[in-house]
Amino acid sequence: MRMSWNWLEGVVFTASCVLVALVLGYLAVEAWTTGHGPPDLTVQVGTPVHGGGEWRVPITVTNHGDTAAEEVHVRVSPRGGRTPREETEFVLAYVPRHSKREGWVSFREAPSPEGVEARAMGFATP
Amino acid sequence: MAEARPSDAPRRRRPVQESLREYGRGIAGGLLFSLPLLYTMEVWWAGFTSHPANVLGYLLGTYVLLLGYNRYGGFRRDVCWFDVFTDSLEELGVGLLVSVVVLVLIGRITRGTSLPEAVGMAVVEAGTVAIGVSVGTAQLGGQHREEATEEDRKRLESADHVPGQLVIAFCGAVLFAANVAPTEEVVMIAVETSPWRLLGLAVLSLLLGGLILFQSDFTRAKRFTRRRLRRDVLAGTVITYAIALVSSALVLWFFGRFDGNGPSVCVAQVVVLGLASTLGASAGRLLIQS
Repeated sequence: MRMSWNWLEGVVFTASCVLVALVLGYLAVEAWTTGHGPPDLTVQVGTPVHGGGEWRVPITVTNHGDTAAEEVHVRVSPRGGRTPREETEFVLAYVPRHSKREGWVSFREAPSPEGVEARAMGFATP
Repeated sequence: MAEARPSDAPRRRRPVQESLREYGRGIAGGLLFSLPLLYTMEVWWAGFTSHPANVLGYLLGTYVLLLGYNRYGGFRRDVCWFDVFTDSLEELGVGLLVSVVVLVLIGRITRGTSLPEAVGMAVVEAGTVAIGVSVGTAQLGGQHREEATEEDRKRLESADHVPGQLVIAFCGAVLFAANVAPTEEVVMIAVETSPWRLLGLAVLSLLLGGLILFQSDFTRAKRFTRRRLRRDVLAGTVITYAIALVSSALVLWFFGRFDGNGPSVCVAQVVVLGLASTLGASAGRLLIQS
């Protein structure tokens, strides 16, 4: 055994061992349980907020799949209401696996009482 | 991160102040080598787009590189293996901690960040930080800068230790290549550059490696390079470039730069990155030994 450690070196070494062991263990479990399936995206619409003469709606995109999704195009439009419908769109650079990303869209008119429809139109896999 | 000492030398407990200074040097070295990576978005992306098995392999690969550096870097040939293993583990831990702290401070890891994303980013960044910590601890103290005949004699001996020199050259090449490989620019240059220019880049890399190792006396390079025969110079230059190409290919593969690309684009990328790796395998190798 190395007997020349002072208390600081002992603390740093022990903390390093714990940290590295935790990361190694976590990655090993993840590597074992994570497959190679495609991204699985769900889109959730939040409560519209009025401000600045327009309506802003928060959109949360969650990736339940095993692979990250790249360049995720999300299209948002009010359900029902008058035509032509006011559609809006935004792009997320990445939605990592088992993670979520949030974006906002804005409408000139108040979203219809039936709510807002949002879906991921397409994405690339890295 | 203890400094090297002969395995049979009597050991004494070091003052805490001295340890603090050493950790400070290590962290400074880690940031010095890895800050470009910590500020590069392609590296963050590599952390969460890579499969966990690849990230695990990257972490283990970093540990092996650290073992190589701590075993053969500078004057550590007489250091005992137990110290090499524990120092490397400690440097990996400090690397992980430093990368997490910086990623939190620059807003890459927030409350909304998922665990797989945070761990992936931290591990990919920690690789270079840890090697920087190792180099910084050993080289930024200035303890080896003074002229000493005995030390120069040991260096000449280490120049003849071919596996050790190969390991150090590989460490230097990976350290430099990892700073450039994740960027989109490597693919762009590889795709847009004509084969003749790529050939020119390869020749330039070869010449640069030979020049740094055998001609320019970079950080008094003659202490670390065997140059008794013309054959030694030629072999040293070619082997250095070969190490640079292998390390370029490995680093590019990890960052997913070969995925979906044809062989010609892959080879072009290796040659483009080879310039940076050659600098690492030659100048970097000399710097981390001096």
